[in-house]
Amino acid sequence: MRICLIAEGCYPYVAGGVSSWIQMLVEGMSEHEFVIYTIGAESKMRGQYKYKIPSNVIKIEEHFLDEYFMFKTNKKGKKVRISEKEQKALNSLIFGSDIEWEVLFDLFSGNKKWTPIDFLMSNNYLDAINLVAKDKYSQISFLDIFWTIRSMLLPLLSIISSDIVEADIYHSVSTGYAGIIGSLLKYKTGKPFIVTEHGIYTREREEEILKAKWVDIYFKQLWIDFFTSMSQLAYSKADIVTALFSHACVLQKELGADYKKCRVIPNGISMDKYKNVPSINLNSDKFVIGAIVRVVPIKDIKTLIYSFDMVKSEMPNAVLYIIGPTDESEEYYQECQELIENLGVKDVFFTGRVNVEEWMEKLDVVVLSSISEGQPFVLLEAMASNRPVVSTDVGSCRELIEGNNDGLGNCGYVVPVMNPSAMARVLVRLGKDRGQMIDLGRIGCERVKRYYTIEIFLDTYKELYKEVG
Amino acid sequence: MAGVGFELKKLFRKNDGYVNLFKSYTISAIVTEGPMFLCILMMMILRQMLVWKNTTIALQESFLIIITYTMTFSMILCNSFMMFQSRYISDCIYSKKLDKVLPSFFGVSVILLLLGMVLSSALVSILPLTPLVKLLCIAQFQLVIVSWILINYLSCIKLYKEVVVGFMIAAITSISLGLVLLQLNIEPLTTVLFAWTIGYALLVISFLNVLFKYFPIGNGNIFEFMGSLDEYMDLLFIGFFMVFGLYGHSFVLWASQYHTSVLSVLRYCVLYDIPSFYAVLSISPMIIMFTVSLEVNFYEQYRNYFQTILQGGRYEDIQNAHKDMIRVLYRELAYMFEMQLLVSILCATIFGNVLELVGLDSTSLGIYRILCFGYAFYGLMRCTAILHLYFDDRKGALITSVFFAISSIVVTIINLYLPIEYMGFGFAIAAAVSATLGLMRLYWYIKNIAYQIFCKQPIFVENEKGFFTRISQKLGGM
Repeated sequence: MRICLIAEGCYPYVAGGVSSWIQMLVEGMSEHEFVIYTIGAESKMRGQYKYKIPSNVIKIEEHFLDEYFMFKTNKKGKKVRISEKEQKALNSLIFGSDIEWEVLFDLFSGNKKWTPIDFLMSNNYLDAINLVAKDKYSQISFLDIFWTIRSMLLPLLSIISSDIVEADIYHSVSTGYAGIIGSLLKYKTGKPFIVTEHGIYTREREEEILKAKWVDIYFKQLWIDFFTSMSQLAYSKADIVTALFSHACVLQKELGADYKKCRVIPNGISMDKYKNVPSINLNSDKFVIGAIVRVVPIKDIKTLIYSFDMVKSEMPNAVLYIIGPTDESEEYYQECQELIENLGVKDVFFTGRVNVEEWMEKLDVVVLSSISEGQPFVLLEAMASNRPVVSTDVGSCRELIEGNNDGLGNCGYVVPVMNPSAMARVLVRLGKDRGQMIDLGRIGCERVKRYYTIEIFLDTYKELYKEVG
Repeated sequence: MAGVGFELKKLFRKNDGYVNLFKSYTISAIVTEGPMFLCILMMMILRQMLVWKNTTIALQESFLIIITYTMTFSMILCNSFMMFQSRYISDCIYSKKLDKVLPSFFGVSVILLLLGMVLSSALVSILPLTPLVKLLCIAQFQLVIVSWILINYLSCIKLYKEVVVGFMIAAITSISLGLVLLQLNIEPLTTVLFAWTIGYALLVISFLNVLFKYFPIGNGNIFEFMGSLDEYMDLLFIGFFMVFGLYGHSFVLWASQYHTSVLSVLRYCVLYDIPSFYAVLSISPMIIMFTVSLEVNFYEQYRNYFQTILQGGRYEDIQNAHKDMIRVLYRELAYMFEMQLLVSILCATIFGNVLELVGLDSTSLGIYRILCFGYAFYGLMRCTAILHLYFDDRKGALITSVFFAISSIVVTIINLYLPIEYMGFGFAIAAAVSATLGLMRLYWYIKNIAYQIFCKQPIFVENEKGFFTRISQKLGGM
């Protein structure tokens, strides 16, 4: 079968959970061929792949949002002729309620007569804006409405104007723009469509918009509604909606996904890679804490450093290794180093990029201090290596550590987000009881073996593809 | 986490300088009429001196025709550039690039003087005139061209007073010089032409003096202004067709059986030119009203409308500002035209009777009366075209001016098939229809102004680098 994977802002340009997931899925299914439909932010990333593209990828279809803003404007403006029904659909898009997506798909997809830019410069667009300005945003600056909605619609309309990619199954790895493409392709070809979400797109955008300084307060709701309706479209068009863990699945249902379509398919890792990692040294005179993370704000390394400072005051033999690239946010890395200096805490080391499997044997416990996660591979990897884990209560971390009533018991500790003393407390408890470390490590390894291996992961998706295809 | 989200940057917003449009085009309304009036006055006095000197009618006619041809053709030449030039100067002032103003003056002068030199030399070479008179003809033609360009520049910075003072000095100089020289019994045509030329030379010097005081010398490419032609080419055509239509009907008469020949090849038509010359003066009130009342009343609403949009007005605010603007515009236009009709009636009746008393024959008087109304419509058409430009509807102004130029000629040709007494109807009908067309376009355009403002905003601002920009850079590199 030919499967079209639709990725937004990740594979193959950015290393991370979603990208690794795609790489794993494609590599594990040599019997299928893949088309990667990828939507990036900046066109300068074109061809800059961070992954070795597997040989069963027959095509990478690259699209970049900033490209749509570089289209040449036709100065005279083309006449855009649309029917009343189409104008109604456009109005619904601008009003953001009961959007008639299918009419819009038919109108823009494969339209060679005029481009989305022609439309955004047309009288029809202004007519729609007049309506929304009169009825919905009557107290807001007209000019702002005009420009905001224009910049909101341009990438969306450009994306739905793109050409059809032939495949037997369409599988988008998020909602958002990728979800739009998936819905469009499903509508145009009638082929099955699967949505997999690692995080919850709508929620992530909502947080981003609420924090964003460049979005005028009046327009925050507009942007949030916009992304919400994009996600809703993907949920409604999809044949299957999958999540990595059950809590995410609940959120998807809350956001409008039909529960009959929803499934939980967790990540999986290769146990083979970690089977040779030696077990924890019962008699070591050091307590080695490892955080396998990219040094970026979302991982909240600062809380980890504060917490380690507290651990250090009780256990002077404690050591912290922060294992992962430091160059993704130089500024944040700098801030972390300054914090270490100000606290005067010793034995904190940044390793940079290293081979995680080799490093695992040096660690006694693996800790994760993130403020947001999906289903982090690092926890699975630590568990597979018989290491106890300590993690903040985000994404599926609690599920991984406490199990879904699987009778195995906990394989580590869950602590609240941004709470250094809670984290320090459990680390000290662990550090002073090496026997417990070994016990928790065994439980973790057993849990991965039962539920989170790459074999289970691949088999489930193979089944799913067979089922829908 | 996956998701580009939106790394979309806030789009570029630009105050498009509509207010600037207003200022730049009002100037073209007054720039031609005032000076025209003054130099006609100067010409009449010099001619009167020839009459007192008991010179031959042929000599007086020669003088008149030289000056008429000079004014007509220099106007056609310069007026073509005038709107484009005022737009360019206003843009320079608006964008605070004052150092580009003087170079553009030199650039335009070089181009027009070269054209003027070729045209006037070619024409003068076949005229039966003494070499000295020929030389004076060419010289004064060049001076008149430069004076038009200068008047445009000075008007752009609203130095109307300086323009008038300059004319006074020139008129007084040439009249007194003429008076003195005529006493010396030098050949009279040479004398008056010489006085005229010296007057204009002084005019040019005094204008240059003012201009240099106001603008920095600047540096660099004097042809840089030509780059703007890529965007404003249509202004050249609007200027040309407007003035071509103004003289087109006369040209038809010059070519007809009613013409008179002077200096063997130069033609004019006494029966038509004299009434049309008096009639054109009758629209001065309208031109003044247009500049004054529109500047005061309409400008307020116009500015309010654009400011409401730019300063974040709500939909309702914009709609209200739009309504107010339209209401005031039509009120002012109607008022202006009513006044002009009243003036035209007064001119046709009372002033017509005066002209009859001073010896205008009955045929010419009839034509004069028709043309009074013809020019009233011409004035309305012209104001309408300028209003188009206020809204950057250059296409509308172009349509109106082209239609006017063509109809002024075509309908006058048809008019030739009627008896001479009906002459002038052609022009009047052409002007009335053009004015109606211009008004209809204006009505439609302003009604849909929001589409014009918003939909033409490019998604991204691009700088035009077309044919004329490249030409100007090449010329500058020479």
